[in-house]
Amino acid sequence: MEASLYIGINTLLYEPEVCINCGMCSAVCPHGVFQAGETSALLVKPADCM
Amino acid sequence: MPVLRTHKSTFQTTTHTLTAANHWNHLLARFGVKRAWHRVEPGLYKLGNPTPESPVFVTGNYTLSFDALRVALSGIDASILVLDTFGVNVWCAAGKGTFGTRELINRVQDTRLGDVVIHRILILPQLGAPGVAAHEVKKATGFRVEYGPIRADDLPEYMKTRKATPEMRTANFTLRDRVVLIPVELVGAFLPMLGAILAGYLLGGWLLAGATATSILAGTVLFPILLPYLPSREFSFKGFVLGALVLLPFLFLHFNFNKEFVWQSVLGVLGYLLVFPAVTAFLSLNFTGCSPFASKTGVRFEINKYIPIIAWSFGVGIVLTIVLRILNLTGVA
Repeated sequence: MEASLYIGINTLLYEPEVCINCGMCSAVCPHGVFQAGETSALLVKPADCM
Repeated sequence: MPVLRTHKSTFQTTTHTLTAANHWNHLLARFGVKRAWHRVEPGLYKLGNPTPESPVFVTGNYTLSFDALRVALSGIDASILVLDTFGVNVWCAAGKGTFGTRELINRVQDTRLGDVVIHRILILPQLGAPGVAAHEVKKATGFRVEYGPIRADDLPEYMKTRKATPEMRTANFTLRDRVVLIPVELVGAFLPMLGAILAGYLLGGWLLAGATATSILAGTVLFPILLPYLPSREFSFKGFVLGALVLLPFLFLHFNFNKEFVWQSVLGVLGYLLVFPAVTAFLSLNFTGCSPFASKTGVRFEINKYIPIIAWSFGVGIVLTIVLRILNLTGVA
């Protein structure tokens, strides 16, 4: 059963301009909210954040 | 960062296997018996015969967490650093900061881990990440934090490549994950359920007592099982739907028993529909905290939206049912 089955209301904030692209966020997020990008992490599933 | 007085470190040896006492402890934990006291002593544990090169795994001091780790590491010699999470699992403890930066740094220094191993790597469970600022641990202790998979079961595979696959990194909520949660829900609801069944019986006989038991069991047993298949993304709404579905046989019976008094049976059915789905919805809303994806803001949104509906529905339904019963007993209708 997947995270997208919940209502998708959360307080997630992401500021790509301060991202140093270390890759940690996409590794540790259990719902794949972030994905590794070229120069900064990509916020791909904001509604799945808890 | 919360300031917590944690327990001092122990130095012990542990095994890869579970004893009968361990299994019994797990069973009690699943049934919520002394729920906060399924703890191991925090500190450093030798698993098998670790050398200074052996890996170090970090976990919380909940017996289910610690035991899952040591069993999963079958055939691997290692050190296990147990943080004091007050008997709480890694994910929940990370959320509250007890599986956290400060406790990890303190525990590394307290156990003189730097003298025990020659490498400088700590393998943490992925779900411990919300509580731990890895760069601060590195700065304070020299140890680099490495996040392993979510589940301890995947550790042997992870140790081969030191890379977790996307599957290992994704939180699931399988049927098995949901079913193991039932006993503790059931134990929590048991005494109120007995009281409610008695009240239902006194008010409307076996039919009302049966509907009471069914709506509570639906919220605690059926809801976790059927969660992905119920409509809507809101737990409360899913609960209303489930509550109404399991009520259908009782509505049918009620209607059948009161065929000759039409307005009375219609109002009776209305009473059932107001009281019982609200009960199931309330228990279902409660279950958000057990799921691995409900957000705090999402749950607050649901509470604000549904608690008034649940309370009004339940209150009006109870009053209606009692009034009907009084009218019935006094022979007015």
